[in-house]
Amino acid sequence: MQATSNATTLTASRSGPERVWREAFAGAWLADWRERRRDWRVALVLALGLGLAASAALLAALDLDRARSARAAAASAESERWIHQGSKNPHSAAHYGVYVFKPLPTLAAIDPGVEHYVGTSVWLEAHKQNDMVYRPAADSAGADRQFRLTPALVLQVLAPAAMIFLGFGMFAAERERGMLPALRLNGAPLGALAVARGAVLLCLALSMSLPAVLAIALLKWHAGSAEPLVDSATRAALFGAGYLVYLATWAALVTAASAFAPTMRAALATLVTAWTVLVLVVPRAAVELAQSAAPLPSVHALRQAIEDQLGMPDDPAEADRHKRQLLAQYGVRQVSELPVNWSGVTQLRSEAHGNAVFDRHYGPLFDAMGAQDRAIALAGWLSPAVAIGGLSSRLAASDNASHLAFVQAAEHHRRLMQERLNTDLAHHPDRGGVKYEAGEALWRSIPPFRFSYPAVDGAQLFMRWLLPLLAGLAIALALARVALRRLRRGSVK
Amino acid sequence: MTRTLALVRYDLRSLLRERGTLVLLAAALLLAWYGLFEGARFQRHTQAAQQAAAAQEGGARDAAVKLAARYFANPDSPEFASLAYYRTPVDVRGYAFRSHVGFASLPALPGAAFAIGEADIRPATVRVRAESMESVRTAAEIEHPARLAIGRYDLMFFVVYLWPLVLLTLTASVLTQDRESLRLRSLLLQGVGSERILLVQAGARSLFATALLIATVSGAALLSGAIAADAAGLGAVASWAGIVLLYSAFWSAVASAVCACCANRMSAAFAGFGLWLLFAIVVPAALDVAARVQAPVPPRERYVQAMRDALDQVNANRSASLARFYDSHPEWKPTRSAPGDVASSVSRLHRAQELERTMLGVEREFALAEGARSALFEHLSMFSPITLANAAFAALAGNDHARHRHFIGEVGRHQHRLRDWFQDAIQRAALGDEQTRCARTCLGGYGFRDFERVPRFAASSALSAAPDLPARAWMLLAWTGGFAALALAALAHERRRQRR
Repeated sequence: MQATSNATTLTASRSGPERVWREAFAGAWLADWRERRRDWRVALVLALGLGLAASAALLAALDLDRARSARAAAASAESERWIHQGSKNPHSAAHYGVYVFKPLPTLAAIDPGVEHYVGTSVWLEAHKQNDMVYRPAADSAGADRQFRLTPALVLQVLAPAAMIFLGFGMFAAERERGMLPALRLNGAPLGALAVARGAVLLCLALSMSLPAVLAIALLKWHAGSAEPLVDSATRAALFGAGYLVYLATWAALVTAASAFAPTMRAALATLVTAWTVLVLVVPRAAVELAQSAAPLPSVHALRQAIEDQLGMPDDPAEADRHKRQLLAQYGVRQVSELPVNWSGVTQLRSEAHGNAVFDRHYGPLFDAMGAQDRAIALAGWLSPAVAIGGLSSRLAASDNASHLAFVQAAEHHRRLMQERLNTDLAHHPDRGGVKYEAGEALWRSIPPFRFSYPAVDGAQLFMRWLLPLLAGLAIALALARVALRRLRRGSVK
Repeated sequence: MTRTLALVRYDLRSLLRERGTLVLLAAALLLAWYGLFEGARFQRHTQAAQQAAAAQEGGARDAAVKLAARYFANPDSPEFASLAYYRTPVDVRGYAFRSHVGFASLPALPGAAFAIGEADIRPATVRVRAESMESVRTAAEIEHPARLAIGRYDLMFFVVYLWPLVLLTLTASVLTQDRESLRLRSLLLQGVGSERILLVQAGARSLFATALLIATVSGAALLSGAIAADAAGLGAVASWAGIVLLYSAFWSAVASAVCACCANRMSAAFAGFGLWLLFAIVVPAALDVAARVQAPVPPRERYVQAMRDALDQVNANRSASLARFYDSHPEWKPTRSAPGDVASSVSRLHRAQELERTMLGVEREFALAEGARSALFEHLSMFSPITLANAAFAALAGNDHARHRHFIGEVGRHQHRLRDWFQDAIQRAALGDEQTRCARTCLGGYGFRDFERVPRFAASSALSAAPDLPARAWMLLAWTGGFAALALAALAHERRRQRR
């Protein structure tokens, strides 16, 4: 396996350890780079990787662009529809409602996270906190239990595999061919060789991220400044840094395994096993086990509980007291004599009652999902793939927490709408048996729904994902150091 | 034959003498059991949700019967002072649009614990409302979305993705080790052909490991109750074992081809992992891409807008469409008021039907696009053994897309029956109310107590029948044959090269 071996011959200078190290590094880098450039297998792996990465980036960019255009057009049409709905009773307008659509940040093209599995829009209407509907997965063709080609898949799953292919023989090949004594004798620090070879490996893996970077740049250029993030630059920087740390971790792991293993086969077996466990098994097992952290109710049980409580009128004694208070306040004896619209007052009460019911049920549900998020993130200490997956989707605003932020903002907007409509209704009693009707001025007074994902919580980001990711890198580097020491001092076989 | 058996015995004995093999098999079995556990846990939750839904439906009906008995015995009782017609079951309008609780559940198949398949994306229980299919179309069970996005860890995942790695590891040394140790020539001189060594050893190792997997997993499934220990359960176990054997045979053939082509174990491991990546990740992802590009589905945002437009149109044409409606149903036509003046609670089902009629073209467009994508994906699946295996396991468990589509079709027909039934009840009640108007909900008017006669969903026997192995699964045999032929061709080529 020439693709994975490096026969490096160096003439080390004796003028200073640092200079020796630098020269050894530069020489090893050049030698490794030259050798890999000549190797057709490296070209094959890279061509395949780049081809996949380019396809994934292109497809993701097209998908995102299409989804954004469709959502922008639909949001604009809804806004127009709302304003031009004509004269009607505010409560009828409240039932007419509006649909709002979830905005997609550019980074979601690289890591679509949960976007395929959550609804894209929600109907904001009177009396109901509706669920988000029309999950893209519902329109898929049965491919959902397979790997979907996305730039995140390429970077999180395929790039480490390519690094294993390209690097498992980094030192194991020299040991297997009996060249280890020569490597020890040539005077170049093994650490410098390892760093150089690891860096070449990292650069090759990073080249697979180029199509994604290009896609991002194109999307940003196409979208202009319409980004639903308040901190897109910070997110992009952390996004890049996160993937750099992740791939560097794999470069260190490959170096460690190759330096430690007695044969190339053993190095390959170790790395494939590690890849399978860390990238395939742990992330899935983590999301399964997280269910136990905070079980979720069934949708029908949740809806029934909400309907039961909504169906119960709020405290009749309290309603009666409120009515009497209002009658006394205006010095009238009957509701029909009130200078305010009793229907509007009732709707305000009804919405307040409904909001309390929704908060009572959706609050614990969202808390349980948050608890599962935290449980999943704990697995980041076991697998860098879990840590980078969580970090990447949080920064791309395509994770569960960002989705819930949108859901809550949409619900907040619904309540604002209902409040304005019902208040207006309450202020305008029916005259002469004719129901009050509002017009465009009222519809326009309700601002259109605009949503920006909140700025990332730096401390949470660090503790949940960056720290495990950095710890993974530190452990991988420590393993590489131990393996190199063994390579330097241990048996040559 | 004796020589072959001796070869098998010798090979398996030396394989099992290696500690690494035992560790690998033990780890594989633990992972398989864990997959079974998660599949069974999901199935338990699904069944619990179905039972809860059935209990909710029955409980709501019983409560409605009791309430109706009390109400119609004494409607003036103080407990009914604040009764609102739109949310009480004793009024047919309140019952049809709010209080009626009806669910449709997809029956679980005996092998459900073997694969979650698409059951977490397409719920097995849906609420059916008289007004429209919207609640069915947008139904989704509460799941943490990361679980859906990352994918489930179930037995299907283990067998389809991890088991091939185990088989490739176990078989990577077949022939290659003999080549490395230069023992192959002596074996050939003893009259044992390299074809026989390759096929017998690769086959025996795969078969041994697969038999172990099948025996332990089946035993665990039956003993733990994940699969019922009855005829249907045993049939599901047998079908699952058949698919596992078929799929293992494919990977065994792949391993044979790899070992025939590679000079040493290292190259074989390298090539094996490369092929696994190709088949497990790259090819299925490429199929998905091809289906998405070749058969795009219009964005759902457009559907939402079409629905809003249609609703505006239906509202604007209310009087005319109601006039047409009552012309075609003179038996329900109000005698004292104009058709356009009927209450919205009476015309609500008609409005839903009008909306459906207006949306027909858009619905058809989306259905055709989705059908075209599914058909294309199914057609392309023959190029991906992983997709074929996934489809076979999901079909065996009854958690596949096609069965769910069938279920939704039945739900749709039930919903039409339900709507027609309520339409008749509401229109007759409106006529009755028009003729003998009563101050509060009363029998002869909108009063309602025929809860037992409201149509209920019953899944057809086809949905409960044990599934056949999807015809396309047999394509795995063709793939197996192809790789076996490749292995033999590689050996023949090697022999020719050695002769030269």
